[in-house]
Formats: sequence, C-alpha cells, structure tokens
Amino acid sequence: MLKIVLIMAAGILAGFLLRNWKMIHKIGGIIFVIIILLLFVIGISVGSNEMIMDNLASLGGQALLIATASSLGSALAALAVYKLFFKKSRGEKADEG
Amino acid sequence: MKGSIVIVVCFVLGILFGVFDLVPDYILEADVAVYVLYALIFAVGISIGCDKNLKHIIKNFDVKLLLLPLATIVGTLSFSALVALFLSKWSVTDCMAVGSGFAYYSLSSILITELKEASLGVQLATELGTIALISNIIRELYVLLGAPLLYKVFGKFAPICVGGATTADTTLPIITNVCGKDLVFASIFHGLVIDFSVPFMVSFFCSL
Repeated sequence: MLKIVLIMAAGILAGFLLRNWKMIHKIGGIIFVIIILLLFVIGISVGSNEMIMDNLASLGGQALLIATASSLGSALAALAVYKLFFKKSRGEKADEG
Repeated sequence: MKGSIVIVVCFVLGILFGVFDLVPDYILEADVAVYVLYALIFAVGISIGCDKNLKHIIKNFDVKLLLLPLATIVGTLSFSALVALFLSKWSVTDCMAVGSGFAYYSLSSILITELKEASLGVQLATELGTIALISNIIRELYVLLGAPLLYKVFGKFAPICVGGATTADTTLPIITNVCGKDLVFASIFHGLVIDFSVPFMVSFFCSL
C-alpha cells in the first residue's frame, strides 16, 4: 500500500512539473489504454484460475448475490450521505429519486 | 459507454486467453497485473498533478467527504448480512466476511480460505474463499463497467462507495472520469481507509 502512495506521489510531482508541456494533457488517453490492458490481464488471471472456472456455475451465483447485495447496500448508503449532508434543500428538486 | 464496451470486450478476451492457455507461463508467474497497476497509478498521478484546477480542488475539499468510508462499511455489511437469509448454506457472519472484502479480492479470498479452515473444514473454507474471490471481482467490475449508471441512479458518491478498497487505485481513473476531478482526494482517502480495514474486518467476521 505504501508503494502505491509513493508511486502516486511521484506521478503527481511529475505531472505538476510538466504541467506546461502540452503533450502531458493527453494523459487521459494513455490512462484508458492502461485500464484496458489491466482488465485484459485480470481476465487472464481469472480465466487461467481453474478453481474459479470449474466452479463458476455453483459458486458464481452465490458470489453474484453477495456482490450485488453489498454493492446495492453501499450505493444506497452513498445516496443517503449525499441527500443528508450534501444536497442543498433549497434551489434543487425536492422529490428527486 | 463506448469505453465500457471496449473494457468488457478486453476483459472477456483476457478470460478466453486464460481458459485456452494462450499465455506463456512465465508471464502469469511474473505478476504482470501489479506492474500494469503501478503504471496506471503513476499515470493517474500525472493527470492529477498537471491539472490546472489542482489548487482549487485541494482548497475546496469538503470535510464531510470523510463520511464516505463509513457509508461504505455500513451499507456493505448490513446488506451482506441480509444475503444469509437466502443462502442457507452460510451463516450471517460467513456472508459478512465475504462482503467485508470490499472488492479487495486477492487478500479477502486468501484470508477467508485460511481462517475458516478451522471451523468449516478445508472443503467448505475453500468454497467460501472462492465465493469471496468471485464476489469481490464482480464488485470491482460493477464500478469499472457500471460507474456511469451508478452515478445516475444513486448519485455522485455511489461509484466511490461501491468501489470499496479499489478507489485509490484500479477504479480511481473511472471514478474521476465519471464523478469529476473534485472527488479525486475523497476517492483516494476512501480507498486507503477501506483498504486498511479489509484485513481486520475479514479476520473479525471469520472469528465469530
């Protein structure tokens, strides 16, 4: 985890120092390419993991259920925090959602 | 949207490559994913650093955003516990142990497999560990692929809370894209807090 923070800090510093170099602002496209690459690599590790692929039908359903429930719970909690603490009561639609 | 489709296609391609063993073993063993992740983090760092609004974003950081990790934990644990009603095979704390992986699939699945062996036996512990692995991968994929939808339906914080432990690294670029750069530091802070809490919470629910 410390490594991640240090790499991020190095990136921020590099970006800050190079902020006036026009090419640096094309970084968004590069990030997208790296995300695609990362998903491809994650896919490979899932696909080559026999324990996952052999049990996909039986365990996958239960996993999907827990993943969906925990995601839904977090999303609802996020919505609650947004509505309770961030949304201004005036000047916005009152009955949204 | 088009971006999400490209991502799904590449993910499925990766799975096929893995299933049909098209990748040389030395690449699998080299843990390429970690280095790709480092490259991603560095690139995200650059994009934050060169942002002309950086000063403005830091100045306007809202202290209330510190509530987000709390929302993630409360929402995840309560709904994971509810799942036990539908899965008679597993107890409430088993389901909460899987949920408290918070998308950190590698660590949570290993911890659960190891820690549950004493009480459930090797077979069931491995099953629950595999469920944790798949479940937490799915959770990460929900954000990588569904962040725009989450944003639309559940508001601007939803992609962060669903992202769990991953919002400081893998899902950070998607979140900044969808939710806006002003949430960069909230997302990183949230990811770090959840990340640190995963080992403690998984062990706790495994011990109950």
